[in-house]
Amino acid sequence: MPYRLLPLRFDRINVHEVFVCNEAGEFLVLHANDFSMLVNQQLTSKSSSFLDLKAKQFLTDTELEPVIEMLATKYRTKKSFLDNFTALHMVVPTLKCNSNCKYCQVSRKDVTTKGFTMNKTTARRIVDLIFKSPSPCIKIEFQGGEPLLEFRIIKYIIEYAEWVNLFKKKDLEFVICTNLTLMTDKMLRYLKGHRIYISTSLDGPKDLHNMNRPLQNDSDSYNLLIDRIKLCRNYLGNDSVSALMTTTRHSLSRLNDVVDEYLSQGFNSIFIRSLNPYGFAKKDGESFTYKIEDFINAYKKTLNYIIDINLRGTHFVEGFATLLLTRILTPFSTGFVDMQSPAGVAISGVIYNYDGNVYVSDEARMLASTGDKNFLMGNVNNKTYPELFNSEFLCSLISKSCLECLPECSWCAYQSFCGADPVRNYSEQGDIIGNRATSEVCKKNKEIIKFLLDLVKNGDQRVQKVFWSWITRHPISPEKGGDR
Amino acid sequence: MTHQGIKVLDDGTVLVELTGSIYSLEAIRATTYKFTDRCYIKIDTNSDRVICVCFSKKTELGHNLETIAKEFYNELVDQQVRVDIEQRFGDIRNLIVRKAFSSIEPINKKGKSS
Repeated sequence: MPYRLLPLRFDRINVHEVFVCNEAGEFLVLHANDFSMLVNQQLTSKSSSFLDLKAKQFLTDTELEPVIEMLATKYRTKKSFLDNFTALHMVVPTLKCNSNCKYCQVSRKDVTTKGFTMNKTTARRIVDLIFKSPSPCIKIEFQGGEPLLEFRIIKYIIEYAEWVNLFKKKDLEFVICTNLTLMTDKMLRYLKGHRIYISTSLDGPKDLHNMNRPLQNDSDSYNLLIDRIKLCRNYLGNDSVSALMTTTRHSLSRLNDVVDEYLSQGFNSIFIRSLNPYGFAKKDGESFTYKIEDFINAYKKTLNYIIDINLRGTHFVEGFATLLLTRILTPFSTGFVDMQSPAGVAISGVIYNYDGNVYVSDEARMLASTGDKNFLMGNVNNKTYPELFNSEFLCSLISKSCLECLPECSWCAYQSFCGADPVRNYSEQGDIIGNRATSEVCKKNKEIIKFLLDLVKNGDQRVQKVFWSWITRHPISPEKGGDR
Repeated sequence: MTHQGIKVLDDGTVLVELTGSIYSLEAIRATTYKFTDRCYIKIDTNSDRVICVCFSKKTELGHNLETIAKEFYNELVDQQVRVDIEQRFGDIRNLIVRKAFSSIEPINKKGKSS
């Protein structure tokens, strides 16, 4: 029986090899001749390529219906992050901040500035709206400014949310994104009684961190940060504190030092994050930005460095690679606000500003701070939940952020592993659809996905074990490590 | 005419002429899209209804337009394969997606009737 081809996308890796991938994210690397035979329906049913392709539902020589059933189940599983609607609710108690970060994305206000702080009426209204989300999991993340400057609002929101949740019975947790410099024993004693995680920023060793993230009244924020990380761990436990880094031009050539710093401070993961083109980073871009190609190269070198650290017996995870590897190697769903299809804007994460304005993402809020309110959903004080979350504006935005129908993305072989970010497209390229040929995000995602696929394909078993240890978050047992 | 149907005009613009019976307009459009980062591109037809793709230099970039035109031909073959596969088997993708979300069909119907 002649075989029937099933939907697939492909990319020529080189003159000899073609990468093929289907809707469910199953993939194979074929010899170019086999690929040519595949699409011309000339493969013989006894060839190993035929059997591999059949096993991964790229073709079928039997009944179509069970194969469609199988692919549909896999596809639905991959998209199951859509089942629950918005789980991440970011709240900005104040825009005021005591830091003077050189690349600040939020256009903060000085500590002494009047206003720019949330009142209790708005805070209460926000919590009421948050609990209208159908998601069984609710994460309330306090952002800034520096949220600890308005600890009373944080406390108010935590206590009111916990009270509401007595009736709603959702899986509720809180995260405070803070520079930690204002954290006190008294605050921590309070936070210990609640389900709180701390997310802070550590940009690298002392000199690098202080260069990127000085305080307004002190150029040395590093020592204070390290001291407060220890204090938080004492009260809340070792796993309660995580850190984020931002790569600037100064850190680009020193990412291994940044990794070493994370290790020496007891962190077991890092997310190597490129600079976002928003806020002050855009305004003062000259001294901090870099070509995306330089970031990609630095990322690859650092990932190899991190893999070697793992092979030498230390479990240390790189977050971006882990997200992509989970998509590449497992059938599971991985929603990620900045990189999913449809985009996560408002439907996976949403942000409530100090004044009650609701934006589709933190990046949308950053754009608004520069005067562009294109992604403002409305204000909690005069809009209902359906008016905010079921608006024509939001439906239109989401429908235009499905990779399946975006130019170039629609036939990109790496679509199953990637995602759309309409706000980023708008900020970088002037419209929410964007142009993939000139998109830096596309270039970065595609290059890093191909790099990881290459490491997977080349089949060094020890590297595969490292990857699986990242995906499962379980260290490799000592006898399985060893030099690369 | 210099090479493989690629014409270099006096102003440095490079012209590629394509037969519509071999390449679909969809494949030609998708291919040109991929090259918009390297040069300015215009798709047109000449008096004989032959499809012409015109490449001109972006002044700030030093790409060789003849090389780009050759790459264009290769990419066009791949794009046409994509279009062909989609035409022959794309309906199966729709079946997969419909099947994947069939469990929420009753919810949609209920929502419309209430």
